[in-house]
Amino acid sequence: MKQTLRNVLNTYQPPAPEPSAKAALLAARRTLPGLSPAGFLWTQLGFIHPRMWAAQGMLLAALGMLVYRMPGAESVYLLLGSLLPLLLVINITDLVRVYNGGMLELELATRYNLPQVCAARLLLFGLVDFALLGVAAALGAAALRAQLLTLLLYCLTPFTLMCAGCLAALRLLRPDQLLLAAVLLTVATGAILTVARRPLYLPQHRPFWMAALAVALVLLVWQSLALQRKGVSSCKL
Amino acid sequence: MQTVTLDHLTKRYGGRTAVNEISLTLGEGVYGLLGANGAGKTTLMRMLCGILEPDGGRILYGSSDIARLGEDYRAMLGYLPQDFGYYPDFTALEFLRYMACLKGLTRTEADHRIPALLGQVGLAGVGKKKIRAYSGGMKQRLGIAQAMLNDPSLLVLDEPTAGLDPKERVRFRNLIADYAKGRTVLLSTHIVSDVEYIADEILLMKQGRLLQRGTVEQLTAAAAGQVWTLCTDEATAVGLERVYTVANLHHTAGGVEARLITSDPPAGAKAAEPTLEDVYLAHFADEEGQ
Repeated sequence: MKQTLRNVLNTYQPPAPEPSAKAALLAARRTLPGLSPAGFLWTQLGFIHPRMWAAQGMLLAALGMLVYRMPGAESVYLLLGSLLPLLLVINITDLVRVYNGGMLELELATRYNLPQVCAARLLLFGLVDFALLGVAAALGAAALRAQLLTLLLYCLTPFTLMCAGCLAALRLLRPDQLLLAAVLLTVATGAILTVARRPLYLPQHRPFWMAALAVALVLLVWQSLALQRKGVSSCKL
Repeated sequence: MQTVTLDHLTKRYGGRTAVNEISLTLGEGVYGLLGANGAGKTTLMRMLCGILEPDGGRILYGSSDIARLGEDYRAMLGYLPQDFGYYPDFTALEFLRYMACLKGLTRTEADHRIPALLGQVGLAGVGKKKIRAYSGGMKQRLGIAQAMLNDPSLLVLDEPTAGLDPKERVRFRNLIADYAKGRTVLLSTHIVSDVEYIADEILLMKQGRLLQRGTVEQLTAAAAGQVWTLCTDEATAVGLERVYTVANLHHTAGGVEARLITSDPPAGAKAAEPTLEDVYLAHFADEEGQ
């Protein structure tokens, strides 16, 4: 039995592929390009305007210098908490440039289309912004000889709230309104922190900050999911 | 190769139906989509490219709905919109690299294809120039290059020859005729000569509906007996324009030779061989200028 099977297998000639199916496969292979999603993300990095990175670098450098000149801990917290959201405003300037370019029709008909371009850029911006925020918090902690976690708490909370607000704006507003909305959010954040700085930065109020950070993170996740579901308002014809 | 099937495709804007129950199958070759402004050509093409969602019907690539295929379908697609924008600070090379990235081409593939395509559309020497410095014809050629960048099996071109001079038009026609082997090319225009020589099939679209389809020979044969020439004087020629669709008025030493499109010719008119332009005029003379 085994011998018979071996003989059959040894002499078996598989049928040649059907010519039209083979041609269709080759044609499909030819038109299926090879850039992976990770490769796409990496390549997108090259299309973000260098001016944006330069502006963010300058903001960080300015903050790095200012934290050492501030009179007290409260002023450092306030400075970082109210000015770090400017990183997002700088991001928005690049996103607005993408929308206003008027390439919408082209960008909607490509393999990686505009919503994916937008998602890729938001992811890149998010990663870089959080890294920059970490550096700023570390600088603040070094200047004050304070705990890094405390600085992170005071920086991350308003920043995360701003992120959630900007994502909502991306979903709801047109490109020409986006930048103004981001600036207004930054000003409002700064104003609230300035007005309420006395009680806000008291050590006994840190549980409030932790709760606010938790709420901000929930809002951020909620807005991210809503954006993923409904798409950026400007990414539609 | 896979066919593209439009199955009762419909799109409405408010109370107006831009595309009305269009059903057709596109196989290999060049399809010329002819129609007056507002006939629904652009809407049809946008739906074909997945930019607009149909209100009714569906589009199949092979046997799969393009909405389900998503990016796999878009990877096989090349599209040139009627008016395409660009980022003002881009050079042609940067623009094509950006498009290559969106089309999922690796840097190596892009570096291989971009110079070749720029050469094919006659922009090899100006690739490093900012696009904002380009003339209308150069931008259009750049648009054609980006559409072909991913070697698409379905190429959709909306008014691709707008802004091209006669020499560039001929170059474009040759490029498309050569490219269409083994692929599907759908190009819309209201310039009849753009498709007359290269289209394997003409699709006539009017008020959102597919009016007629066939080869140039089939369409012109169907118009036999409706095209006439009449030699007359200038005063009569002016009068003819009020009554008939006049395809052409040729002033000669002896008077005026009028080319009329009608099934009820005036006395003395001689039957003429219809051209695709005559067919177009027969259907759209009442619509132009809308």
